[in-house]
Amino acid sequence: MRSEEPIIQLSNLQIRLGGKWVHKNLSLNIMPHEIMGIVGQSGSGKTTLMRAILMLQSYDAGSIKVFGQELSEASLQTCEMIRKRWGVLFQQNALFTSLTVLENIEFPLAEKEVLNSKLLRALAIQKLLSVGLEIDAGNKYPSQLSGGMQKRAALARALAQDPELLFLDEPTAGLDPASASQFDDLILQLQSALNLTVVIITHDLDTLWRTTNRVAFLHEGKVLYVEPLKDLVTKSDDVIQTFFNGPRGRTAQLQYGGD
Amino acid sequence: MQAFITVDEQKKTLKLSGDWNLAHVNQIKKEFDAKIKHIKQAVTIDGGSIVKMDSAGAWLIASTVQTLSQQHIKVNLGQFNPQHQELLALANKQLAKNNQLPSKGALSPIAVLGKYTIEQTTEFIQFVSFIGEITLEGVRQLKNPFNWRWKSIMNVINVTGSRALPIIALLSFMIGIVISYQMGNQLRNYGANVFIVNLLGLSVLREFGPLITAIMIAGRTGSAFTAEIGIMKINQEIDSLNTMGFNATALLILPRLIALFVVMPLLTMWANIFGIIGGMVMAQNMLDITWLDFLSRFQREIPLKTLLIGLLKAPLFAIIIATVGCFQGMKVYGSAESVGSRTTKSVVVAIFLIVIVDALLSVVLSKYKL
Repeated sequence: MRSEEPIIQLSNLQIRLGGKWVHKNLSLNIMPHEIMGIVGQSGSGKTTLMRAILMLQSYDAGSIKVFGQELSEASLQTCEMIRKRWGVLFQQNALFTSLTVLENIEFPLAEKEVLNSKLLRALAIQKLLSVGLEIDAGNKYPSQLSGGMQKRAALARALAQDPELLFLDEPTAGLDPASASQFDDLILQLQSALNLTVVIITHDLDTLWRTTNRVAFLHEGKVLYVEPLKDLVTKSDDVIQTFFNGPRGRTAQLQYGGD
Repeated sequence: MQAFITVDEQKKTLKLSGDWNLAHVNQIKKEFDAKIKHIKQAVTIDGGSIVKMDSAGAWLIASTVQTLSQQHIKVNLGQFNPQHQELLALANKQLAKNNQLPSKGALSPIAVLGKYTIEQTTEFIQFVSFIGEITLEGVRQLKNPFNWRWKSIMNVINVTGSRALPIIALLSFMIGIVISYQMGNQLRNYGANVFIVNLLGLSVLREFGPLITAIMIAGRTGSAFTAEIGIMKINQEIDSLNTMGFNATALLILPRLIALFVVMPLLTMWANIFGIIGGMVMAQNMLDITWLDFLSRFQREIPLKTLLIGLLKAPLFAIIIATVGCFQGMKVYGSAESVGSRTTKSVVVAIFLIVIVDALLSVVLSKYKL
């Protein structure tokens, strides 16, 4: 495998929120085409980290490079270009409640690309079907869909512009086990077909075992380890042992970690 | 890089090259459609020189292949690299699914009218039963005033009452000036300057004071009630209250209703005072009626019942504003848009009802010579 530039490069990142340091000297590289899991106890700053990378949250020191561009120095045009190249699935889905599902998917396409309306519709339908939704869902409003379908619709919107980089914040939270595992399959399938780089923030151990190539464990404002999950769980630190080797962790490990 | 299609001379091979992605899909679609029109026999699509391809490009190729095969033209795909093949396979899979969006089914004008009528009627019935619910709950709460939510009642009184004082004072002062100015012009023609006191006193105390206050509060407080309760509804806070065994009516609606019921007469009195002062200032400037003359005549000419009738309207208006505002809040469902439309509706319906009730009262009271 040829050595590549990391797609996201965080070095010595420091973020202070409400008088408390959320991140102290956090460094992390995410390579192209990998599925990176980010885990940590509640309140360890996973979502803050994602918001900082997404330019939704300012940071106090250090650097964030996305696609090789330093975010704090990027011009407006560069930011615009970067934003076109990533897609985000938020924890609460963040679908536009006053638009139908199909209009939600069309929205970023219509605003950012010059497409005629027939083509726009066809591409949006394509995206809708690719996340496993039925065509009937297209005319519905988000509030008329179940939680799992809302997640899929939000994923379709995140994929609308064919991003290279996909952020998923708790993608399987609140889904039933069957839907959650379908969602994992979907992520794997899309990742290989579209050659995506995926960053997953999750507490769902099944998702971590099935999808990720490497996992970064955040603890006390730093990245404790970045390892494939099967190596990570063998570390002897207390936090890691309580995180992965509790009763729930062991079940997931028995199922996926054995091979 | 652009995307290109080259056709060889026998029209047997289409050679695709360049970037087949979202940025070029619009332009390349037209070109592709134009080029395949002339193809009448089996053809090979060669994707060996495609540099980049995304799902939009894959969809374009797959759907073109589909169109061609529907015209019974055999298509071979050649030399696509494995990743592009995977994309094409994915696109084909989705093209095979049902991708006809069901039409929303436009209704005929008569059906639209019918739908609207039914919706409005149901909403009216719901409104009536909402009033019933509040009344029942209110009566139940009446028995033990110690259980009232005094803290939230006081809070609503503060927000809707004391913070509205400046704006209401200013507004009614202006109204007083306007009435005095317009009437004064007419009265001066007849030398009946001094009757400005009667006109001003009657119109402000009986009509303008209560009405201006009510309209102001409908816009200021009724809309806030709707938005507050509506957001709580969307956030499932009301569901959560219900499951904890709290009654949303008792907890959220009654305090607002009671507080507004107390505040409105006070605000109306406040508006009356400033309305009269406004008129008085104008009367002195324009009609040479001194403040002392104005007030002594005011005392003699304006019966107490004028003030009382005006103040009697205020609690009625309060009930209208609070019930309409809270009802519309409880009707919020699903989207951000719904909060907006319900808030608008809350203000419009409240003002509408206020004016209607005011007109009815005028008619009824004049029947009984009050």
